[in-house]
Amino acid sequence: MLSMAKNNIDELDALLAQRSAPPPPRSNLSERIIDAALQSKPKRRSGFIQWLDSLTDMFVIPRPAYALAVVLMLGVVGGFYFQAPVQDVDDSYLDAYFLYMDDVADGDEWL
Amino acid sequence: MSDIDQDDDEGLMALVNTGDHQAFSALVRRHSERFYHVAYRMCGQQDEAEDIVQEAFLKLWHKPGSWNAERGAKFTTWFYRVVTNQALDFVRKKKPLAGGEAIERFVDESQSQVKKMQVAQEQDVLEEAIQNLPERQKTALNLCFYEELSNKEAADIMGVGVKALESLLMRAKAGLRDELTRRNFIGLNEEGGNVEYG
Repeated sequence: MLSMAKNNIDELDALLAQRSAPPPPRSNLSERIIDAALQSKPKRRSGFIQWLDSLTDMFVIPRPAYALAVVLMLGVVGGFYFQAPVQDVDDSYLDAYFLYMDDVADGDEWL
Repeated sequence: MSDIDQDDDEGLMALVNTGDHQAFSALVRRHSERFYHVAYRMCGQQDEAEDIVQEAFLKLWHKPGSWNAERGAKFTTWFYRVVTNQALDFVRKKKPLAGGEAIERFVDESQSQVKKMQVAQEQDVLEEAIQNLPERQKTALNLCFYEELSNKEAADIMGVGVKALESLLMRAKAGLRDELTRRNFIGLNEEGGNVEYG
């Protein structure tokens, strides 16, 4: 079985080697590209835009889908484990506030 | 030979970054044919392959900063990626190729007419089978088998690990074997058993 498999691979490799070679380019490709480049100057950007470009180039995400999934998971796990700091509310302040509201209601100013 | 022709690719790219057209020309003359071959093998059409390479080089000219030497990739590795991606975009827009258009072929003129026709037919079938492979398998096969790059280089170009690349190659060959057997081009797997690669 293994020798048959080996023969198969050899036969396939031999066939793959027979694939036709690419024809030479029709035009003088390199000169065509060089001429086209001459007619279109590279875009020179202002210093700030260039700096911004180089900054964004530093943060290229090679696999955006994986990166997004990982960030989402980190967010969920982080949110699960870390409790947001809760500010203690001064009870006396609240009591005073509701007392004031009661006074306002009692004073018939709502009606 | 001018000094600029002796610079390595990375040195030339540094000059292209400053808008040096001579350095760009040297880079184009050095590599356009190689990348044309890659593009042709991906899309199977001469004019389109030329356009793909031209577009890739012009992108490089307009935005040389997209190649960043500090990231450590060789220029050719990075540019292979640019050209294959561009060719894949073209193939996606252009599909389907199989069955319809005749694939352009380059046959040795010295062969007899009958032999020529036979070879041409075989090459058409092989080309069609390769073009019909899934994109990543086709890219892996082209880079490793026809561009003769090492598995590591091909894996870097495709942005996958070496193991994943080997798996793509194996699946590409298995797919081709099945397709070519179905068309009676090779007498493989006659007993209907699984063929083991390794």
